[in-house]
Amino acid sequence: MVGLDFGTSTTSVASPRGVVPIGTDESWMPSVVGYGDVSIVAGEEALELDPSQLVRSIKRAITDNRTFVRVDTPTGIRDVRADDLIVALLREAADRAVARGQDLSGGRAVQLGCPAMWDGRQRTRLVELARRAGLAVSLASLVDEPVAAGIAWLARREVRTPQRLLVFDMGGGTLDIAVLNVGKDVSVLAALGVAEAGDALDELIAEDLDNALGASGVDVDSLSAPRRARGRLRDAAREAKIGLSTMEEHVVVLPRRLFGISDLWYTREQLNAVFAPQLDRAELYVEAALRAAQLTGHVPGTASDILRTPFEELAAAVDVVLLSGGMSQVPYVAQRLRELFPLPTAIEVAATPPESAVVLGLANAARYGRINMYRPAFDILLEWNHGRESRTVYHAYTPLVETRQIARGGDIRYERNGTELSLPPTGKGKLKVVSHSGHRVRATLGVRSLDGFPVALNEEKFEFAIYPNGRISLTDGSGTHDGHIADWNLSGT
Amino acid sequence: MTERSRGKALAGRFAGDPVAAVCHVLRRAAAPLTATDIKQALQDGGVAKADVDRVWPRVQRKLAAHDEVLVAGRTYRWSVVPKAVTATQALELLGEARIPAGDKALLVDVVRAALTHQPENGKEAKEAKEAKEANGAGDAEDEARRRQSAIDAVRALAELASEAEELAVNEARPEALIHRLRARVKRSGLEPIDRAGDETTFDRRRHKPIDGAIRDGARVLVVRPGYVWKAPTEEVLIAKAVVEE
Repeated sequence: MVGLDFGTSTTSVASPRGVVPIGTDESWMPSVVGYGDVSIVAGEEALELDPSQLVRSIKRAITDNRTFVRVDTPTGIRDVRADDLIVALLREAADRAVARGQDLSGGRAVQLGCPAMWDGRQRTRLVELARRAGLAVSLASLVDEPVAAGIAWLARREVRTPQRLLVFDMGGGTLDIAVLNVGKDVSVLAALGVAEAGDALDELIAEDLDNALGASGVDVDSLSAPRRARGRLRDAAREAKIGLSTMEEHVVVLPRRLFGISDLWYTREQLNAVFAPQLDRAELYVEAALRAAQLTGHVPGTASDILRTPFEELAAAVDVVLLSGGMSQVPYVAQRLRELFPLPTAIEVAATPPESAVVLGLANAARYGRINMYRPAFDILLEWNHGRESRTVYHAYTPLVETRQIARGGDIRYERNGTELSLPPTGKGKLKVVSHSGHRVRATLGVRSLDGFPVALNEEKFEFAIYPNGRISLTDGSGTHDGHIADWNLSGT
Repeated sequence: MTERSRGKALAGRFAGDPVAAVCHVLRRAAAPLTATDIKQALQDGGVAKADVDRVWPRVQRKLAAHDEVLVAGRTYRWSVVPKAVTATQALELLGEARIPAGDKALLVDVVRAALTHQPENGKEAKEAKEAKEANGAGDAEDEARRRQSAIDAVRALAELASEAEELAVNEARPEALIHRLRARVKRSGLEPIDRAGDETTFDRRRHKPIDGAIRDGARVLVVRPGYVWKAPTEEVLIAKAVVEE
């Protein structure tokens, strides 16, 4: 089994024995791709191109649903298909993996990570691109990144009783939070991702250093070379962030000729102060994820009940908070989460180093069943006219709970009606369930299976709903039918 | 529904998604179909021959990778059975009522192969083959890890040297210089023993005389600090602090 983590900044490969180094000097390959003189180049080679010829963070093209990216090619500046660049990057990673004994083209099962917030279209796009790159993958090969981080943690221990985990994955570009139940299987109760760039911290530290210099009587704008000085401060900020991960204070050594002073002491307390607003927002996301998880976790009640539940009660249900992603190495992240959760809740790193958690989890993912209760991995179609006409009643990976629904209160559910679907006024149809995981979906409506359930078509009356706890409800021309998804769709074995 | 309207529906489906149209044809077929059969069915459904021929190479590639299409020799067949099905899964699937006849035969073959336990198809042979492949893969994987460990160690050294040079050129004060170097090595899990220039009492477990022998408890001056590596599972004394009386 092989795990491939196509990350925003880096791409990594792992086997169940650990990370398999694919970089020329690092264990990972930079997720950078660009146009060389004769062809598309990916990885370290792309970093040597002129900045106008390369694209960093190409994965964002999928997240942002962008088709084209602007890049300088041998035939001039033009918009090129992001997909072609992603395929080149994945192919390069696959070729390097083969050279290290990891065949991604069919010899071994490949698990590919994707953000938990991606919808069906985005997931399908990545799978198709990976196939174009020669990887033997299907939708069932995709594993939500926070789930993978949870699996990396799970793979190192024996869990005797089911545990509730909150994965806090803070990378350079995004913050992903997921609430999982782990035991024999790993269930996603809630997942959300926001563009909270950890990289912004470097800029904030640089500004803080600028201010600290001001307090010492050094005005950067009045220096002989202010641009050079600011460049130095940005570099010093990155150094300070790393230095303060192990030390309480860091000394920024400055060229006296440029700044007029030789050093400046910067403390962890100062860094925490500039980082605090970002973590204040992160705490709100943690709370939103925990509230959404209440709905999925078979806790009866409406959104109003969930809204009224004190945060302390939600936090107390979490057994372990798992830290993942490069930014989790900043000690303030663990400190804030420690303050947010009660003492019995453990705060642990998902894997060492935390930025390898996702790929290590992917390599072990096939050992655990995975259930996405937040974004089920199946389509529900309504067909009529002997299957010649159909509508998609539920698209796989559409979230059943939207954060704004919780804020509004009332019943929370995914629902579609006959008008939205433009159904015919009368006629007979039937529901069809299409699983994207290779596993059958066991769901019922009344005493019959959901798959093949006969529907009395009626544009006005038709209403279909899935509740986060697995309840389903269908109203058609013949009445209302209630049912349940018996076991949420497993997305792996 | 008339033949004509059925044909219109297939042609419409083909115009939107040729692969979906072919899957539709395969789903409805009672037996495996050759490429010629499929093309004919599409033409019968109102799709122009030129259009079929134009997209066929692309469709063919997609069919080969399709999860629910089985390619056997020159025929294609719709199947609800996962491509890599184990004997146990095959038995479970056989217990389900809605398995098509073609899939049933396939599942029976899987179970029969497991029961007859032929060495070339048997579990042991498969495991031996996998182990052999894994060994080959393991060698390359181990070699890649060894190389990476060596690079990481040398990188730490290069970063230290580069930082020391930068600090020296910037005329960093000794206090700042020592703080930065100690912070750098701490990230690799190294904890210093004493500090150069400090006075302390001799402890043979932590100190090494610069010359000759020193009795335990004697007052000594630290010439160079030592280092202990705090690894995840143990502490390793990398170097004792060098001292003189």
